[in-house]
Amino acid sequence: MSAIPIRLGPAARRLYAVHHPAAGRGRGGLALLVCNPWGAEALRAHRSLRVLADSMARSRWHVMRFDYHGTGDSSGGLCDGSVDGWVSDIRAAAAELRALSGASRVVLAGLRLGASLAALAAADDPRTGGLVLWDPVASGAAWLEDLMGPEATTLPGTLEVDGLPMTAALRAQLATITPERLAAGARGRVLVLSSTPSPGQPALRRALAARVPSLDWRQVEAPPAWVEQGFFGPGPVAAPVIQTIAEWGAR
Amino acid sequence: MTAAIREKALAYGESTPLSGVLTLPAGPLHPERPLVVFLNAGLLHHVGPNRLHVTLARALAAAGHASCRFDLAGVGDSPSRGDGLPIPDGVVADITATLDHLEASLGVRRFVLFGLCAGADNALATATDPRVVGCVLLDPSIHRTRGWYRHYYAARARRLESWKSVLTGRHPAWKRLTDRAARALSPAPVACDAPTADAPPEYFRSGPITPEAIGARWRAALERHVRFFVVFTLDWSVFYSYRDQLHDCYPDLSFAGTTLHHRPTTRHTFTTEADRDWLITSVIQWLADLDAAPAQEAP
Repeated sequence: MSAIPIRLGPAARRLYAVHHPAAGRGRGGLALLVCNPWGAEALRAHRSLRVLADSMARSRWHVMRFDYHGTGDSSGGLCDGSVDGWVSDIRAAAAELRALSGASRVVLAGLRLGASLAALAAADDPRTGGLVLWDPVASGAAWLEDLMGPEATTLPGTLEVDGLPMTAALRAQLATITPERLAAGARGRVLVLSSTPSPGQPALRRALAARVPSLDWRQVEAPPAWVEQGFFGPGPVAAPVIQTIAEWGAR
Repeated sequence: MTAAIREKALAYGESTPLSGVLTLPAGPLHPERPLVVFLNAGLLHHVGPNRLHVTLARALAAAGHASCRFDLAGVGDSPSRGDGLPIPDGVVADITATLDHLEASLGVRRFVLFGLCAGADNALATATDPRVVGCVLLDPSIHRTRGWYRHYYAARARRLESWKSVLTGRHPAWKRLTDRAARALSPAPVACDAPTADAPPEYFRSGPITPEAIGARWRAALERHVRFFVVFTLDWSVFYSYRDQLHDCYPDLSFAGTTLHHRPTTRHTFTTEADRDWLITSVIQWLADLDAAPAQEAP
């Protein structure tokens, strides 16, 4: 069945989403919400996340992709993003997905910063059915240091990365992302996919293992979907990671 | 987003389902006012690089212009095509299907195609559609002229950094030379060389782009009196190095109705806010001029 573009949420925070209905009957009251990375990483990874959504829908998962406020096709300007706001967007999209699919619980699957936001959104929400964390940003501070590469332009109060501004307020919120904070919210089945080493991942693994005895942590050899391939283009489709998630979802 | 602006997710297309987003200004639509259609920039999905298409769409709506950004089949949110058309034909078919849908659903009869990079090539390829009255082309395909070599190398020679990189072995020419030598010495053929600035990779674009083929597209559109807003940027300096290169490339064509900008400090994807603001202001002004211009019949 074709994916269906929709808009959800109140007028002041109208989110663009795409629902991928399950092929056949849904899976035991569970649905899957895909949480985007930020900025150019989201643009480059769009294709991989669409392929992931299509693949899971074929495996009888109801799936939804969406854009946070101030990103993609959702409402809001380039400087309107905040960590708390994006976490509330995940919860709003999960509620819409539950309503559309009839599922009682939603597995949150995120890539890079999207994985971190998914872990934060899972905290204190019993309707979270599990987490799929794909190369999560485990340390917000280290990630910000990475972003401050030669291509970043610092304007008064604003860091501009690949043409997208990141305000001082947003940077301060991102800096509070730590492995311990992400692990604190983990619930349900947790799958972590690590294809590219990044700062904080070992600490995240220890923190998650202490909280989730059945933690499924996989090293997967795959190209980074969020890194530009070629000339101003999207990233590669990380087929091995998508395959691993699909197999995990089929269990 | 300004409260008065409305956005609507679209799903349409008969043989292949296509996805898009319609951005509407406040108030009723004027059927004679052109609706702007944003085409994919290469394989990037319809929001555009650094959200360029969304930013522009909302600014255009605030100025009274409707627009649609959509994904070609197999790009972004649109699934791969089911009709078996080859890419060049499929691209034009998808753009045409989008104009058909917008005409049928909104009653709009005049369109402006907006394209960056491969999107610009795809816009030019579709400019023969009688409903297309204008095109915004950002870094379309262009061929080098004698003047290109003169301007490009003169500019490089003026840069101290170029000389430093030659002397320290960091200049791209050294890499090309060493790569070429390595290939010559390699017993195995190289299946697919990495793309370089001299040989850009194939984009999701509408067909062969020889100088003659591009010239024929320009001619067909100009004979229909399609108006153009064309920008060449810093990152296209490897193809376009001086303001009037377009005229020199096609000396037998008249670009009288064309607004041409050479922006040698602007990045290909308009990464700075100042460049985006310039683009928004300039396109809105150009659309106002297009509105005011008397319609001309094709010969």
